[in-house]
Amino acid sequence: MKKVSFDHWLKLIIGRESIPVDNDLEWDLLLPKLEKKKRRRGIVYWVLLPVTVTCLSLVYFVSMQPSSIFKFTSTPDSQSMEVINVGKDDLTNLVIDNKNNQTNILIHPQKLLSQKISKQELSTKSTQFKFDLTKDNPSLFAEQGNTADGNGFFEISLDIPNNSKSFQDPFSSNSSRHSTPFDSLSISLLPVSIHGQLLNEQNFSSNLYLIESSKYLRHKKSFKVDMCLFGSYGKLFQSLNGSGTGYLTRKTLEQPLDVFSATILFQTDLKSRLKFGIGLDYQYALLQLNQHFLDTVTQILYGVIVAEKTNAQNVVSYDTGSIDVRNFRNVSRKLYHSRTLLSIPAIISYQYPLNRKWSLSYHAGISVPVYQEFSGRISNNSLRSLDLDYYGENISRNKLPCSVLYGMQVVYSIRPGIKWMLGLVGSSELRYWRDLENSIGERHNSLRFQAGLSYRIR
Amino acid sequence: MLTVKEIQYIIHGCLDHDRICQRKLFDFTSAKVMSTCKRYCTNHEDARDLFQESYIKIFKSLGSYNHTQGDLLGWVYSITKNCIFSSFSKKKLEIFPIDEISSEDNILIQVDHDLLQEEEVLREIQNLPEGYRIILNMFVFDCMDHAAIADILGISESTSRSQLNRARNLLKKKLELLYNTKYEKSFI
Repeated sequence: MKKVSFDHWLKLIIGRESIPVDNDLEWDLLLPKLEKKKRRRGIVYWVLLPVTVTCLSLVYFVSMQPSSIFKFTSTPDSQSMEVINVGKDDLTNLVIDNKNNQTNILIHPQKLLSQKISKQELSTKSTQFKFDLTKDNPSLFAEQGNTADGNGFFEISLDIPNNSKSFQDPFSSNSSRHSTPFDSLSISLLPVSIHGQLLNEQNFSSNLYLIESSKYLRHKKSFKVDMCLFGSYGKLFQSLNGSGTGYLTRKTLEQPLDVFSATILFQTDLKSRLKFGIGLDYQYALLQLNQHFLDTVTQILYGVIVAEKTNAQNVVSYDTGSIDVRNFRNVSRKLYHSRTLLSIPAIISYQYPLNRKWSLSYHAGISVPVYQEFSGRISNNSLRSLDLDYYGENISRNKLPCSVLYGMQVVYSIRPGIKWMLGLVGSSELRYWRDLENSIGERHNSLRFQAGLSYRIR
Repeated sequence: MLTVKEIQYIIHGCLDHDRICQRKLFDFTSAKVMSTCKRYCTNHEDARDLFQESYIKIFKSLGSYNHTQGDLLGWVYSITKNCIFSSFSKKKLEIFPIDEISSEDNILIQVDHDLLQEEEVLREIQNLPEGYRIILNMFVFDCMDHAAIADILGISESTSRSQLNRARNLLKKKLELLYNTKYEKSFI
């Protein structure tokens, strides 16, 4: 008997792949896993990511905020170190550090808004003072300038009792530098809002220096930019326009669902209440397709009687074999198609203040699409020369229209320069964008809840 | 067989998560994938798990397929193989080192044994001990050399050789027994 290599024989036998696979069953078992994978990706990308980015941004901005705007330093002689709270509510912290020969007076900016620093006695024989007026947030200072008092001045008075002499208004117009021997220091009517005037280093007698006091004050009328981060979720609306079976099929099958978006916007003041913003918007929309169709299933039946034989003795015998049977079954499925859209929004907003913290913001603008991707639809028409009756394949890319944006928000000022916003925003495409072959137009609108943060970056 | 245009069409559809195209690809390749998974597993449930895992990976990485580098079925087969091999690294394989015996690469079998059905041979392969089965599959069906097998399974080349030899002998014995039983039965 002829013998062959065992390995070769095994390959021949197993390589036949004659064992039937129940494709329908296996596909039905696989489908939930595919859906699950897809859904999980959606949650991670479109919900958790914006939330994480927003939270991280918030933490970053809060951590970057300075604790004070003024810093006074002096060089005392005494050997002790002490911290004196000046005023009631930690209005001013005076730190005398003799080891480093420095005295630091920290004045919290918000307390300066409505209060004046009362005269305090400093138990030190300090004869040399070096004033360093610094502030990291120009906008804050500009706002406070209007609220401190009618003239936009603060009054700061610091008295040192020993050998006291007073010093008044170091920033008056006729004296940019003063030389006054003193142990008592009084700074009054510190000009906060000087139009374009710089308050640089000031010497009070030979001992007092006011260093770079107001490099921030010059921003009173300067260019301000707010960076806004928004996340939104809402309902997508789709309207179709056309005629014929293609139009009717799509109108029946397609159902718009949700829309998520993440936006970064840079805003600048046009007038006191009017702002202009431009940025980038990333939008992800979901459409549901309800599919109903007949699926063809081929079944191979083994051991079926394929022939009946009767011999001369009238004995009946049967030939068995395998036959292919084609069955049809009704399939109803829900498919989800997604639309990804990247656009550049340009909006004008008007802020109506309700009180010191709260305000209402109305905005309107236009959004210019930059990039669009539609899953389940054609991205390259040249590849689709066959089977054009498949769903969605005949929707070619036409020029995407611009969208109109509109909405309103409630704005809450968490702290100067940082605002929290919550509101409703709508967008509407200006015209239908058409499927060239079937002349079916489609237009998408959306209405979304929007939440976000605004941070003044300069 | 599918034409290049049809394959391109299916791939684009799959990348767009079009279920109809995914189903077409599935129908086209499922027999090969299932047969491969069954060879490596002892039962149908394990094979089905690997089968599903393979398809998730196939649909996920379909974007990297380039038809100029080979046919789609071959690419799907290699993805399935990678999926199966990566499952080995997740679990500890029971490969017992045995004394090295002389390697007999040229074991012969009578052609009459061709009468055995694929399903019967597959069942006997599935009933082999795990180490035997995997190494036999890798060497005979996936045409891998002992160095590659040793690298994937983390064993020595000599262990791979000896396991393969034992696997061949054991399988041959089982198939001969099956054949004889069947042959005798048919005469009774």
